[in-house]
Amino acid sequence: MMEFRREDSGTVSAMFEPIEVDLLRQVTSQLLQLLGSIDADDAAMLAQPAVRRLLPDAYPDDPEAAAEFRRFTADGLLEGKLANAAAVLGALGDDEQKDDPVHDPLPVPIVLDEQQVQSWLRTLTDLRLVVADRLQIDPHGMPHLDDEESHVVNDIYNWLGMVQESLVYAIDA
Amino acid sequence: MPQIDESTRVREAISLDRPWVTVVWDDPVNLMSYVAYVFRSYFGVTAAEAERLMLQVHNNGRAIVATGDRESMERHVEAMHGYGLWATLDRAEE
Repeated sequence: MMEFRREDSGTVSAMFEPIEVDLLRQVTSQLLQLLGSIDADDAAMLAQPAVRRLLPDAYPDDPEAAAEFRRFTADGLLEGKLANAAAVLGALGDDEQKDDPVHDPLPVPIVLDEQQVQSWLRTLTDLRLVVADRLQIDPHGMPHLDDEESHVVNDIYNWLGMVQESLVYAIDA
Repeated sequence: MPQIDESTRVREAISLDRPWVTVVWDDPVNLMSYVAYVFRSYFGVTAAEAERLMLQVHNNGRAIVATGDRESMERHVEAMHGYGLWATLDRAEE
């Protein structure tokens, strides 16, 4: 992926490799599924660390106030997160890259307007929060997952961070 | 009707005037650049102030990013959760 750059028109854009587009589409679809499955009234579901991190306790020392806060905010927050993830998918386009045995697939331009940038920043965060939970990232940022997938998952985690940082710098400039 | 013991009642009366705060906690996931960006764009603080708050979160484990009435702080905490930051409400220190 090339760094995001701000265009004169106000949009930011970057070239993504087709494999990166597919990857982002795949993890974002999984995030949509997860978000869609969350029932904020389901205590067992809220006990899951990833869900808890997406919808943190607003009152860590007051379970009653925390539950009350969640009752008033969780649906709206989830709606927002779902809409953001859907917007990311939208910007990636629908089509899977067609296999072309002769030519390397060409990089794909990703162009984001101001609102799409906000959706991307938030969705990249949500993705990283969920992947960090899978990686068992400790408070110092060290992953503790140790299985055959851990390298791949770690690469995805770092790549998502790189995309997000590039986006922050592009709109900061 | 639930019984409230007298000490709770007194404590609440005393704390009525104490404002609430929005606390953002350090987490190992969110990028420093993103956290500073959120402070700047949401709270409208300068880049230098956003950087100072972000470093306070990073180095001290938490920072108070806003002070005010409970309703406003709940709105801020909800917004921070929307950004994916780990934020909570607390009473301001006396």
